[in-house]
Order: sequence, then structure tokens, then C-alpha cells
Amino acid sequence: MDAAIKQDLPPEGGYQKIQYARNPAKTYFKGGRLLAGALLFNGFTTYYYFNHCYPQILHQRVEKNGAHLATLPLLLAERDRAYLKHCRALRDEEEKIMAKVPNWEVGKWNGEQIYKTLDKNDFNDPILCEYYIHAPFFDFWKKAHEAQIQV
Amino acid sequence: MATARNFRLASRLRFGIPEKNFLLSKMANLTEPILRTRFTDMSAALFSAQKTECKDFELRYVYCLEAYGKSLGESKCKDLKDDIQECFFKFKQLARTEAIKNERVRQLKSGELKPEETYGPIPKPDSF
Repeated sequence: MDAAIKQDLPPEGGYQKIQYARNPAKTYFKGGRLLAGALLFNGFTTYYYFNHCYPQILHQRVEKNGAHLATLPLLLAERDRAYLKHCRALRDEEEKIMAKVPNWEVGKWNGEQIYKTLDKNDFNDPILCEYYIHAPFFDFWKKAHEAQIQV
Repeated sequence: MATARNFRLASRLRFGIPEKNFLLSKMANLTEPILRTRFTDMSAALFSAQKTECKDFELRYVYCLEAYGKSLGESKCKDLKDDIQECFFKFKQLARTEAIKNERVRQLKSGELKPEETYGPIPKPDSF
């Protein structure tokens, strides 16, 4: 064993002294300056938000509402047209299917009108079942439960 | 017991069967409460149909009853009463839909309708 024996000795100069005194974090601002700084910052941001950002949001909102109001009549008209077209299609389909049933008048039940005191030519809105008679059951089920489905 | 009787009466009316028992036929014709106190008129607005779709039917029926009274109004206002019941319960329209559906099924099974024609006009999703 010619090599020098390696021992686990302390480093040169010995170890440092153990620090047991308090070592708090460095404070940049204290007390009043901190509060003043916070208030200033908040003031500037509120000024910037209310005088620059919020008017843009309002402008966007106005535009959105305008677009809604402008397209609403068109959508309602489309919906009403589809509704009336379907009512007419229901009547025609009923006529076609019940042609073979004896004593069946289209739009009546047991020979009498549905609403006896109303005029013969008054339009009677169909109920949900009636609206979806000739459609698959799933469509009716989905419409009936649309309040719960809510995607 | 009274509710069961009323339900039976309503079901018979629904299918167009008149009640032959004299007493039972008078059972479901209650148009006003038995006791009149100072609070009956205050609570009358709670039990009206004026915010539903049947408001015009109800008004006409009630005006007719007021004009003719209860006993004579039974015969004179019968059509109006039937209309308001139809508006509430829609039993005629439901019976019609059932009949049409059954007829369609019967035609499919017997072969008068082809399999391509199982469904008729299908409505657009949000048009109702």
C-alpha cells in the first residue's frame, strides 16, 4: 500500500460557524409606502379599465344585441313557416292513411269536431304527440325531454 | 273515495260513455265551494285558467253559467263545458293520435305500406 491513506477530514480552515441568529427576508417597502403603492396601482388600473377597456365591451354588446334583433324576425318567420307546412303535411298524411277506415272524417273524432264551439275553419294547434305522429319515437322523446337534456 | 269516483267519471267522459247513475252523474259538477266566507272570493283567482291557453274557453263557460244558473246551465252550456275539458285534458286529440298510429302499424304489418314508408312527414327540430 504505497498510496497515501484517504481520510474523511474537515475542509481547510475548518467548518463555518453554525448560524443561529435570525435571518428575516429583505423588505423593500414598508407600511405606508406599501399602502400608497397599492392604492396608486389600483387607481391606475381602474382608470385604464373603465375608460379604455369597458367602452369596447359595451360596443361589442351593442353590436351583438343589434345582430340578435335584426335576425330574430327571420328566424321566427322560418320557424312559423316550417310549423305550418308540417301541419298541412300532417293533415294530408292523415287523409291518406285513414282513407280505408270507415266513418273517419279528417280532423274530427267520432263524427264531431274537437272544439265544438269554435268555427269549423278555425285552426287548431296540434299537441306534441300529434306533431310527431309519423316521426320516429326518438324525435318525440327528445323534444319532450329537451328541458332536461340541455347540451 | 270522492277522488276515485271523479277519476272514474272523467275516464268515462274521456271515452264518450255517459254516466247512467243519477247521483254519480251529478258528482263532478262542483262549480263553487260549499261555504261562502269572506275569503272565498279572495282565493278565487288562485284557481282560474286565465293564465293558461284555455282562458277564452273558461270565460265563455263561466259567462254562460252566470247567465243561466247552475241547473239550467248544465244543459245549455254543455258544449262549452266539453270544450274546456277538451282544452285541459286533450283526450279527443290523444285518442285521434292513438287511432292514427294504430292504423299505421296495422297497415305496415298487413303489407299495405312498404317498409320505406314506415315514417311519414318528420318535423324539423325546433319548429314546434
